[in-house]
Amino acid sequence: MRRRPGIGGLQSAVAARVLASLFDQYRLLGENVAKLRTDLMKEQLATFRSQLEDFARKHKNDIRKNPAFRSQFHEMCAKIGVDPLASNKGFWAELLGIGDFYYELGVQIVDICLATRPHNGGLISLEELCKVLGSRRKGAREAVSQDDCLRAISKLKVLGNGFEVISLGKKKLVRSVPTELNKDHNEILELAQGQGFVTVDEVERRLSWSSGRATDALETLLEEGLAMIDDGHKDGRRRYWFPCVSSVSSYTATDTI
Amino acid sequence: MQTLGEFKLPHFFNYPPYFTLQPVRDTREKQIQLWRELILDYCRTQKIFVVGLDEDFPLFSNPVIERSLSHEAREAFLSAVVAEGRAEWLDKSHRKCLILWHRIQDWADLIIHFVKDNGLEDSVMTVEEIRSGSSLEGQVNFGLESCLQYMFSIFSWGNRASWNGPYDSNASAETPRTQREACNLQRDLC
Repeated sequence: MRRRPGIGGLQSAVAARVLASLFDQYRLLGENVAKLRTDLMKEQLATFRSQLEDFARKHKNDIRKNPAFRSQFHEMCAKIGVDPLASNKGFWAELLGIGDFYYELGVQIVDICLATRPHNGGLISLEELCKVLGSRRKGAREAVSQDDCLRAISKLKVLGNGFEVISLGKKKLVRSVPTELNKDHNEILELAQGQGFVTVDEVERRLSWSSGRATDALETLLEEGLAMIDDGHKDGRRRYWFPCVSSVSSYTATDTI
Repeated sequence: MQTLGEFKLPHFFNYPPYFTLQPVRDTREKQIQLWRELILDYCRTQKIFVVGLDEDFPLFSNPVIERSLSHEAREAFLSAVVAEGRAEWLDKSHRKCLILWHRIQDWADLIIHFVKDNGLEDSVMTVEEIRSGSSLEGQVNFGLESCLQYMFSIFSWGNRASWNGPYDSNASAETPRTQREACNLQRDLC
């Protein structure tokens, strides 16, 4: 396993060094597994876990304040089968108080999704969600990253809230309604990421679909509240806009089609 | 954020689909709510009383995104304000709408206080005098006379006040007002 880049710029250089050495130890652990030295492996795993706990205790603040660091820490925990968020009680939760942080985040995320649902139909880009979250939490001590949002959402999923993260090309969308999107819908959404809207012609042309197929898919998206129509362009062609792929604060007038 | 003069426009004003009346019910309801609030806010801060559907009301179009509201959309949004009790149509064909950004009772209270504070019971005043003497002074009061006409025609003042003069819903800001209408404020107004 390679050394992780990006930890170098942390406030606490000591924390960074310790974490790096933990990764090294983990690598050694893996080697022992490969050699089927189970007794040695168990011993190393126990040592490893207690070192991780030590680390967490000493560098609580770094974990709290730095989203990138927090993400690395979570990754390490996942590798050794420790879930700091598993319950609000127990060693990890008490030590880090991290359960509360993600719980609070989850509540805020649900709130934002509900509030924006009339506008975007229950689908919001992860980027937009994080931005709104950031502005709501302006006074808070802890910064929030997209990784934090994803973790909070995965906890929400466990509660059966119907939340899901879907990938659209390079971007991620958070779905907070039970609406199932099929492949056709996903392709249209991905196409819409370019300018925030599509026309029937464009869908037919770019995806090589029949006219019926394009219209059907667009009408379904419209009915589900994920799309809005725009008949106001001077070329007279109807545009289907998708609020979930645009950011509220960046609506522009650019329109090259 | 885009502004109209000093008025800050909400984000949805720059999103083209909001200028097309939406067919899907839930989406349309949200759209109507946003426009209704915008119209009231704008009229309140700009002290606009009457909105003419076929006129160049600044909210009806956004040149930045090259979109305008259709006549149907304008009527739908203003009807929503009427339905909420914050506006009234001044004519049957729904061409002019009186925006009650104060409620009728609040307007009545304002006038009553104005009269009391200035010892104007039992006098005859013109609309111009009411306007220049009250807190409305200095504002663009296009349509104030329509507002007052409407108030006096529907509000039950009893014998506390009466309206003398033609009821002219086509009055515009350019028509000279002084001595055209007058209202009679009786002693028992308070």
